[in-house]
Amino acid sequence: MKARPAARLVARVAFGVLVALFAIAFAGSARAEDRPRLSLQSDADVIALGDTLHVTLEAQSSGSTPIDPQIGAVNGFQVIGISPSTSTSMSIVNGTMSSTRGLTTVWSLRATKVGVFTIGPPTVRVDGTRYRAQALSVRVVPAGQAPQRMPQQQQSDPFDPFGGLFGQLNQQLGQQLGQMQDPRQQLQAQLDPKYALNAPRGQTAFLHAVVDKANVVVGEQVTFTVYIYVDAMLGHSIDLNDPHEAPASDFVKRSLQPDESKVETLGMTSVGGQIYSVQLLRRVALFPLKAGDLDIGEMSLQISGKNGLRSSEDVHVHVSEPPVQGRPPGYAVGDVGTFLLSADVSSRDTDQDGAIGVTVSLSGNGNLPAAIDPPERAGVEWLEPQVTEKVGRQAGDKFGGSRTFQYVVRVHRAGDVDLGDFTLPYWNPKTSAYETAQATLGVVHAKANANAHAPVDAVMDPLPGLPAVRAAREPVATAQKHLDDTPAFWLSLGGMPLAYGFVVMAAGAARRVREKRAAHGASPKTEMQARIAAAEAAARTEDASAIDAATARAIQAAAIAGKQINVRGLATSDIARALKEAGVTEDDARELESVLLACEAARFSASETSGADEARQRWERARRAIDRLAGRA
Amino acid sequence: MRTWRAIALASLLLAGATSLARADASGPDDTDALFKQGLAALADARPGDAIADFEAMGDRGVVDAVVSFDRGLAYAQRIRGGTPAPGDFGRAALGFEEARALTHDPSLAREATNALGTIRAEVARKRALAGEPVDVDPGVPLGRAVIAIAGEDAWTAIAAIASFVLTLSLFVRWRAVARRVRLGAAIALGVAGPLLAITAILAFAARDERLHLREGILVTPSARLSDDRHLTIAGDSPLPEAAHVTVEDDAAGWTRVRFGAQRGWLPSPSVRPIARAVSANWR
Repeated sequence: MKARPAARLVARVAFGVLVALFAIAFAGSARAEDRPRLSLQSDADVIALGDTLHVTLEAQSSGSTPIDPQIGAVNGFQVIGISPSTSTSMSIVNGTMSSTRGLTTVWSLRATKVGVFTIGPPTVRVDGTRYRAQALSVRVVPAGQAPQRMPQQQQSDPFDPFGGLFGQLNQQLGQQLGQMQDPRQQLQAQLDPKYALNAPRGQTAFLHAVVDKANVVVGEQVTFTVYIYVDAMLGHSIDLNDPHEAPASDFVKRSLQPDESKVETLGMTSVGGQIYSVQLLRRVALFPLKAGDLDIGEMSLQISGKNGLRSSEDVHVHVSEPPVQGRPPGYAVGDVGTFLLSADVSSRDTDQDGAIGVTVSLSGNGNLPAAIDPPERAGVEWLEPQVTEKVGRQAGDKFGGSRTFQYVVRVHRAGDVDLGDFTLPYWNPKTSAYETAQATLGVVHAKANANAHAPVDAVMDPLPGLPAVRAAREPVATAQKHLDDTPAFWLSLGGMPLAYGFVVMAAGAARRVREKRAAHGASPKTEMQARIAAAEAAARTEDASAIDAATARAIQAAAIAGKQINVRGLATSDIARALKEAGVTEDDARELESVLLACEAARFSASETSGADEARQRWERARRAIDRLAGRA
Repeated sequence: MRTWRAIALASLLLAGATSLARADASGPDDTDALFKQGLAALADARPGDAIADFEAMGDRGVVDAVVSFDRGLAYAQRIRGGTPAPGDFGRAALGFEEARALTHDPSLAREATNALGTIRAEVARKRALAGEPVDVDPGVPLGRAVIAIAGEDAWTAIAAIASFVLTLSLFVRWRAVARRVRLGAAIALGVAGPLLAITAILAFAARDERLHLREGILVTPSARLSDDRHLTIAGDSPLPEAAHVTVEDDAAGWTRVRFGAQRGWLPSPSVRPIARAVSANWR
């Protein structure tokens, strides 16, 4: 009985162990399923110093998307780029859907030291847990000693937006260099002077842009070319990233390259004494949309390494309009090139209101017009055409081709109807003249149809009541003159009121001058001169008393002017003394006193005629004394 | 020797005179031929050809009210024919606006105004059907309306008279002694002074408008105004085709316009300027 419980116990323990083992195993397998699959690979095991190595880490997870890739140790290398990309795949098996999320990360590493180096191990994070992959071992050898690597176009380069373009470029360069014993010497013989430049525009590689014409008319083709010059002696490949096309926003752009992702090797040339390989990067036909100094702009891209930005020149083109002189009616600015028109009418007979097909083909070089106006004829209705085109690069790097317009034409009029001509006036830059492409359609016959509809334009008039056409031009108007176009008008407008101000000012000034003069005339000297003049005038008369009075006043004025003494209020007997005290000589003082006494006495005498002579003598005596007194002698 | 010289000189003069005569004749003959072709095309219901001829006349510098009028009719004929090109309403309106601005013939001005009304009515009808604002011509601002009360020459003449009266009254008031005369001069002074100021300003504004005001017509089916960064102004309703706008500035393929209270930039090809009468320049 005791053995049974022991056996049961053993059995239970064994069962428990089995369950535990199963649980552990299941958990382990589940964890193994959750763990992302990581793989790491590089594009080379042995590379040359300075070369670029691409290391790719692929992480696949059935859970969340792997994130945050880290490359780990990169001793001996410099990380120059990283490109992550994610992917998701889904599958349904027996009605159960499963999905896998992936992260592919490519690192670009440049070898900076010679030796054997371990890269990684790289890691990614999934659901908060970081997982690591195996590390890589890479040997870096001196430049030129590395074995030839796989051709670039067989490997995807996430940094090369041109795909095989630069792979080809590097491969061609490598082949050219690899086949030469002494590359520089052999390349010297192949230099093409057509691409030669005075100096390089950058180290290692640079862009160079040119246009075939600097002066064009609106719509005329300008061929814009961008070359890339790569140092032929570089010895290793270069990566080109992040290209930016020249904007050329004022132009219509048409590519002249069959495939812009393919490179065309043009040759070798010398730039500043150094040999460069010249490759065609872009060739575009530009058609200017307007007149002016238009800017094409510069193309730029990044080459690997420091200061890797490379830009082409900023190119400008001067654009003018074709001349107005001789411009044909219907010419649309921008129609420039050499064009030909041809037309084919499907049938020459139809019914009234019936339809015929007209195919018009426009061909030539230039920016072919997108539409052409059909001829206008009464009773002929042109439906919208179906347009097919075949345009592209033509001989001599010209853009052109053909554009075909297929019309359905309804003839609403019975009888012979002339469909007219298709015409396209254009400017031919070769001949510098306007020309017209023309295609004559000819006449079609429309058989009368009793059930024909009324003409379309009779149905409804959206603009009723418009006036009739005027057939006589107005006489040429002469330039109308306006009074206010002359400066004289504006001057006179303000000048007249201002003239009043000037007159008032002038009058005031004149008054002030007069007053000043009057003030100046009241001085003793002026007074004396006036009195002398009055005495002279009186002396020419026969009025003795007037002569004596004037003589007396002249003496008084002279005393004031000469010696600042007023003798008028003095007694006559005191005059000589006063004059003497004032500095007059005794003789003059007595003479003047004597004259004054004589004048006073004569003024009261009875005789007038004989007195006048005596009065004149007294005045003569007085004048001599006055002259001496006033210093006039 | 002298004879040969005389013959050579005469030949030279004759050749020069002939070439000059030909040069003089080529211009008018060319445009006259285009005008006749355009009329013939209109008569044959070929508005496209007529438009090409009349526009070619414009390219050659012809500024003629009748040519503009007929050009407007050609665009209108294309609309009536049921095959209008985008912008035909605007170009028709432009022709009639130019005819109205250029002509000295009142009957032509009246017909152009009526035709303009017909075009704008149709544009407004189409916009109303599309649920858009129908205002096609916002009219002129108050200042320009005041200037337009009398012509530039009228304001000029009034200003000149006011200036003369002002000056005369100033002198009379200064010199006159009689009280009544001085009172009359003072009254004239009070009237002529302000009148001179106002009419001089109006004359100057009218002259400035004549010389510098640029107007245009919108020749695209619809256009939205942009701000100084050439980004569309949010909230502004699109300007209607055939709208009469005032051109304020041009820069790098853009034209700044004013339409009523709206102001902004439009691509230059969408606005065509209205040709104005030739006037003598400032001398």
